Amino acid sequence: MTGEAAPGPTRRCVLRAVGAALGGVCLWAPAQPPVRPEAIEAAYLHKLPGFVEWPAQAFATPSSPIVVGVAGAPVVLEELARIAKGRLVVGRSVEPRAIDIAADIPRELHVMFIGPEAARSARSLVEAARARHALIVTDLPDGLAAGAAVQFVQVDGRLRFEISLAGARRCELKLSSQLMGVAWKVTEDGP
Amino acid sequence: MTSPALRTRLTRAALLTTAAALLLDAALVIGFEFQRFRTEAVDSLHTQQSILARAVSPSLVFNDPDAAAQQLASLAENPRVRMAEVFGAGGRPFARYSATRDDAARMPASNPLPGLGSNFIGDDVEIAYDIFHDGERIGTLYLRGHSDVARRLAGYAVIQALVMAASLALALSVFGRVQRRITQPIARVAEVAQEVVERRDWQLRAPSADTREIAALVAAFNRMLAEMAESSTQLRQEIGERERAEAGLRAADRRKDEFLATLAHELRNPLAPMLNAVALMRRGDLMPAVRDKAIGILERQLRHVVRLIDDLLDVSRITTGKLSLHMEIVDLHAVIRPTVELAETAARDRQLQLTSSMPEAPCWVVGDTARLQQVFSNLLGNACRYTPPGGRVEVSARCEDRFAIVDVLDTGVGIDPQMQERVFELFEQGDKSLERGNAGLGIGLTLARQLVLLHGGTIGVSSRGIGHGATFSVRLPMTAERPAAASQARAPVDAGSVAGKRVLLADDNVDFATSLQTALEAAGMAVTAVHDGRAALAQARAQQFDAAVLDIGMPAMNGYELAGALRAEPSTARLVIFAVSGWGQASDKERAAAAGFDRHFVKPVPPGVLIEALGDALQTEGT
Repeated sequence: MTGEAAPGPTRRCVLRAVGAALGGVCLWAPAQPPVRPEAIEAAYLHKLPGFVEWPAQAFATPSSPIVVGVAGAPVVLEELARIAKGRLVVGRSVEPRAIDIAADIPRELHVMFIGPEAARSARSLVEAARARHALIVTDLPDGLAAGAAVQFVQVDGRLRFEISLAGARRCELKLSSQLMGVAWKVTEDGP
Repeated sequence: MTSPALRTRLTRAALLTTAAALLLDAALVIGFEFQRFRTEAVDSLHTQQSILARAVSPSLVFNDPDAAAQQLASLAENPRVRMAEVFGAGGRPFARYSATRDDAARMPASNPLPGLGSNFIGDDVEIAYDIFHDGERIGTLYLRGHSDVARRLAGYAVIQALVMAASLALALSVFGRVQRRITQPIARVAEVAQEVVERRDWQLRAPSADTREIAALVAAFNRMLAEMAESSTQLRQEIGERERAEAGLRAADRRKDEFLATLAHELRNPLAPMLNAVALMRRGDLMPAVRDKAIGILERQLRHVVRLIDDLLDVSRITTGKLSLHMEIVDLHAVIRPTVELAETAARDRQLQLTSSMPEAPCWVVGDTARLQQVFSNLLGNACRYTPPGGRVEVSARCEDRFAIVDVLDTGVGIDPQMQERVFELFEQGDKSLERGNAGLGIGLTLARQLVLLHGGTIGVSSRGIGHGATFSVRLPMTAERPAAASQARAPVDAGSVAGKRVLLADDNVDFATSLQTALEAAGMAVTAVHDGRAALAQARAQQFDAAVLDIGMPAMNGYELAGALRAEPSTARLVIFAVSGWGQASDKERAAAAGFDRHFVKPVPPGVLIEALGDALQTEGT
């Protein structure tokens, strides 16, 4: 998964091109023109499923896509759709879905992002997502208290995230220790 | 010795080979180990890198350099890693780690291995590999650390050196042992060869060896020595034999020269008295007493010359194996008595006392009477000759155990003990100074010994030295046989039977013809003398003859042809024909008989003998 030796020159060139494309999206690059925070959130959303383990019944088939519902963050949805196109995460494609209300939540949902514009319907969305064992991610302040497992925060001008182990447990999810290693904060307790 | 010894060469070759093999082996092993150590160093660092890359990939994904730096800090546990750095996908430094402050100062600002992979800087190894997440390259991890190859190689080299030293020592020890088995026998062979050359001792031998090829070499060498020894001995023997033969030849040659000188002297000696006698007889006023004396001188000297020549011819016949003996059973008395009687005159002349003693019973031996008489005559002659006046000569015969032994003793000059064996050799004489006073050719004893040997006997001499006289002993085997009949007494020749007989005499030697004619005429015969074969044939056709006495070697027609011609003519076919010739070999006699001669006489023949033979033949012819 990581740290592979470059297999061949041709493939290495391709990888380098891809890397260059990603460089502006997901990596810290102070000299480059400022990237929209939503784009970084979208990139994080796209990477997070790689560090999460869902219950067995979460996917209908081994190739079922990872469905990412995005509520109240059209820019994030837009960026995510762009990033996810043609890329696989742990062998599955990432499928962004726009969610307005809890009723919109599909039968299979794996990640639920609740943006600032969906703050009012957050509670119902959290509950609906929890029923689907989805990883609930939000950039709303006090998101973890509202029941989210991951909350994006800006620290020193950089996007970081906090983790609520209780929030994850409630959704019957297991989070990778690697993810915990890069989290800004990890809290055990939760509502 | 300037060239190195075999042992040194072998040792050097063995050590060089072993050392070369070991060095090559060590070089290959160290080279191989060097590569292996490097690969191991890279692999080890790569493993570290893989773990680290996995650990820092979330930091890259979620842009957390602090977390990445924390992950890198765990490298402090591994003292071999000196520096580590994470570069982002764009190549900018993302997080770094250095073991020391010095290393921190040297941290690269960008990936020093843009081509990725591994690289060695001195004993350090550095690697750089990309970090992937979900199939996407998210950055590069660079690591640099001690490879430890130099230290490990140094240790390895020490081990190799120790192994090499031990191997060389072992090789030296094993080879030394093998070498002793090979070089020592070869060195021993070389030593023996050197000794043989120095001491000329062919009996030396090299000790055997237990290596097959060397043993073969040693055996061949020893065999060669044996052959050399044998041929050397043979050569020495041959040289010795040749030297002896050469000395013998020289001695024989010297004796021959001396003999020729003696012969010339001996032949000339009688000539002076004969010339004197002839001169006396030419004188008209010759007193009868003087004439008788002159005739006596002539007769004695002639006899002496005749005997000399007879002896010479006999020796020649015996040496060439042409002497034939007329063997019969004879009593030794009949041999010795006439010999002693003959010698009495000479003994008396020299005022010697000659005695003889014979056994009463007859001693029968198988022999040629005339030749045996010749033997004893020689011995007696010598005894008389070498005994000064007043001395004593004794002949004694005895029969002893199937041998008849005849001793001839004298009280003469004696023989030096060293000469006693050699007196029987041809032309050998005793002290020449003593000899000179006495006549002799030095062939009488040779002849005597050879004749005795022909009779199956032996002859020996004993003398107590010069001045003590000598005793010659003849030993003849006796025979149990007796003569078949008493020797028939020959009817005495009737002196008158030849009277009036007509004889044709042919000889180109006018003196001989004349003297013989006188003798025959004195016996009453009528003699016609001619001097060649043709004249003889003419006379034989012209007149009637009873007998012919012919020489063989004559001009115009030789004796053989003449005899043949006479036998062919009816008028002369029944003539009594005698040959009187200087040629006296058996083959001459055979040829004469074949040509038609009745008898063959060898010159000089006493006229009496010839007259007697003529009388016999004519009497037989007449009956």
